[in-house]
Amino acid sequence: MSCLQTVEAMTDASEGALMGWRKVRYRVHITICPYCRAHRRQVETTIDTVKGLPPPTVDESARSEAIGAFLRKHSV
Amino acid sequence: MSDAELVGRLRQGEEAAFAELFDAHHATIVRLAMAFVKSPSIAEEIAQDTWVAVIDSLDTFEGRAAIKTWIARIAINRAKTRAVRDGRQVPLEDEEQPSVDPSRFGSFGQFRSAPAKWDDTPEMLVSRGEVREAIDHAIEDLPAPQRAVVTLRDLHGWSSEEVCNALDLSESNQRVLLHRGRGRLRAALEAVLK
Repeated sequence: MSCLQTVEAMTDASEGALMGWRKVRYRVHITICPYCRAHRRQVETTIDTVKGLPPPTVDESARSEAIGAFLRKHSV
Repeated sequence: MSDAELVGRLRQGEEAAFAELFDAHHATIVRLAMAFVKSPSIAEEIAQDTWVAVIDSLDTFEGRAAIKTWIARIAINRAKTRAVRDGRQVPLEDEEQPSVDPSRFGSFGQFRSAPAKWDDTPEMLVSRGEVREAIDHAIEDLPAPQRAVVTLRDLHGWSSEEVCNALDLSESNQRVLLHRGRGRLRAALEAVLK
């Protein structure tokens, strides 16, 4: 397996979707290739950074409007 | 609390239960809508329409899917309809592209040089304004299918099964979209860390 193929297989690997020989070849390549391990660390850092982004601020008027609609529906 | 308990409280008109539902899912709906309509104000409108539809349809919710999946599907349908109405093309097929610039590889597919070692932790990176801005822009630029998958998987922590149900995707298609989306975000982060 080349670096290019390894890089393109990384999500399949992290999602547990690599099977058979592809899985074996991926594991062998990752074990021996520091460049692909460095790339994988970049991908992992990216995912964790995205996960850490602050949630968007909720518009309070949207919240009270939705709650108002809910209460109106249940008052009839 | 299980979905069944929550739906029971909602059907009884319990305000706190609805507030809980809103707080848990409003940001997800807005971000999902943004995948299709781009404009934050239109995304907020879609979210409001979604809540009205949720309130009106609660009695018909059968619990076959998780409530968050059900809400997401309503939001996606509304966002797609709105995008079409506003003349925006919503691509059904994803663009095919490699996740890393092909010039980084030699003729045998080997890396020409080592990918940089990033010293900062994700916590350090997310505290930097220019990093948040670069990732936000990269997310905005993702094609709608990739953006919807990345939004649910990485920004909101949904499982692949939940994402497949909400977006009507096969497992393999979901993985392809996630791979390409994450690839673009990595490239955006790499550009800002150079």
